Amino acid sequence: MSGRAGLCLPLALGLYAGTVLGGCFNEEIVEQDLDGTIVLPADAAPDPRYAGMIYVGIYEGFDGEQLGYPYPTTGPRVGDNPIGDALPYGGTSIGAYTFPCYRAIRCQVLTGRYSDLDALLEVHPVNEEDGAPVDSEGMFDQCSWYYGWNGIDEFSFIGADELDFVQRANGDWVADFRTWHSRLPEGAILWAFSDNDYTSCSPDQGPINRKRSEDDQYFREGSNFNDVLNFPDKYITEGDLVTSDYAVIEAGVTTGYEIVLDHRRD
Amino acid sequence: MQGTSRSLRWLGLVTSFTAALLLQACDLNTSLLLQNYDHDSGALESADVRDLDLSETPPSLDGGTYVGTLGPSDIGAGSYSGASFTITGTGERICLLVDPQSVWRDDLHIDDSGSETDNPYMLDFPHDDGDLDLLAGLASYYTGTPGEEIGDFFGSFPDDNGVDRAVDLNLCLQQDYHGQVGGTAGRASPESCSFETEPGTAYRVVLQVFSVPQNDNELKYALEARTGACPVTVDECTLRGDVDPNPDVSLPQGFEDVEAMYCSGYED
Repeated sequence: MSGRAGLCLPLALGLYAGTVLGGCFNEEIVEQDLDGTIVLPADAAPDPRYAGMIYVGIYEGFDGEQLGYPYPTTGPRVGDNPIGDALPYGGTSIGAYTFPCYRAIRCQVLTGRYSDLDALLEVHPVNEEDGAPVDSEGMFDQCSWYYGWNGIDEFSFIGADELDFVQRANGDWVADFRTWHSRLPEGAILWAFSDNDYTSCSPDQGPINRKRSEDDQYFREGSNFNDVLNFPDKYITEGDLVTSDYAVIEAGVTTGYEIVLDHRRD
Repeated sequence: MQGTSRSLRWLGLVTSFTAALLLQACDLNTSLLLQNYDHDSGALESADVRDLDLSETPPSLDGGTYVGTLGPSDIGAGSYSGASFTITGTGERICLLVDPQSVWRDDLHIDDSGSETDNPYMLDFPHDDGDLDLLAGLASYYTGTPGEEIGDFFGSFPDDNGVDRAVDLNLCLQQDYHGQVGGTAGRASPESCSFETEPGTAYRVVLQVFSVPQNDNELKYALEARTGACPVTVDECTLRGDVDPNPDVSLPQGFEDVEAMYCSGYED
């Protein structure tokens, strides 16, 4: 290596490093992730398999009067809407609707709730066309055909390592959540509800069927409606759980929040 | 060694020539794809915004069907064509209906032998379809300027936490295919909505041009404001007049336009 080349290489590397490091700057984006835990009291559900989809939202404030049960503050009522948009700053869900290979239990099965197929079928029994109950072997075959999965490890909605909830010593169930890229103004609240009867799932949405069905019908796999966090009241029905003891966002604090699904709607 | 050098020189020449050709090919006129491109003059038409309150016979509540035309939106400039008019609330529910120029399932025709052929009465298909979107709300919330600029009913307010929040105050709520509020009908499909009104309060009704017919860049539409709820079924025949008259072919049974033929042709 000549002397000039030996000089050029470190110079180029230095310039490159300077450029890369110079590219790191604070974008001052106001949206941040918020981490917390949600508690499903032991007396509210024997185990998380019996709880529906849980939605967590960050809202402007709390309004215990408008609907007669704990609810976030809403914006103005517009047109025929019976209630205003709750205008969430952000939110997330615990689990997601998934298609469990049978249309009979579409919009009932969530990710992160079942350790194996038996645990799923115990809560959501389904029958074959001849009326015989489907067992785990039959469900394995059905899902292998529908999704093209070759092994139980590929089943996206079961797995002992995939469970969202863990049980505390007092019997309550706890799940971690993260609301991605949300506005977190001081004084805003964290509020949640559990849609135990799956009202928030639309059987007419979600991916189209991946395999032709036996009756040759086109169908959708089911997915949640897109305004659940904006209009939770549309989906909260008798028996659903809501949070009355909400958490208030503190300035600069993005972790450590805990909310409890402590109120059952009559 | 010399042969290799010559080959490299040739390769460089061919590469340069190819690059020049490719760059020339990039000189495309994409204006042709815009809905407001005038194929006769080669120019782009500006947005056509009309204040129907200034027309000789403006649309009014229970005033019957209003038929009008609109030009193409200037998508490149981000400005919509459209029309607006004002109605005064009566304290009752009102229904708004608009039907953009359209054809129906008539691009195909069943001939005497029972075979599908091109419909001789609709040779324009699908080039005479358009799409209008319907908005309405309190006139004071309207962000556009009648006759100048088409707007909407989006507003904003600071919430209790000092965060500026956007809110859509459009009262003309329509359901989409999944029953979710906020939908609009597709091309050539009528739109309708109803809402309660406050007596003596001004409401602005707005038509936004989403697309215009390709054959003449002119979108015909039929419009009506009625007292009461909207009909359970709103279809192409609920409002009449959204059709180009005098087709190039003679229509059977003496019909003057294809809409009349479609909507009345099978009546007893």
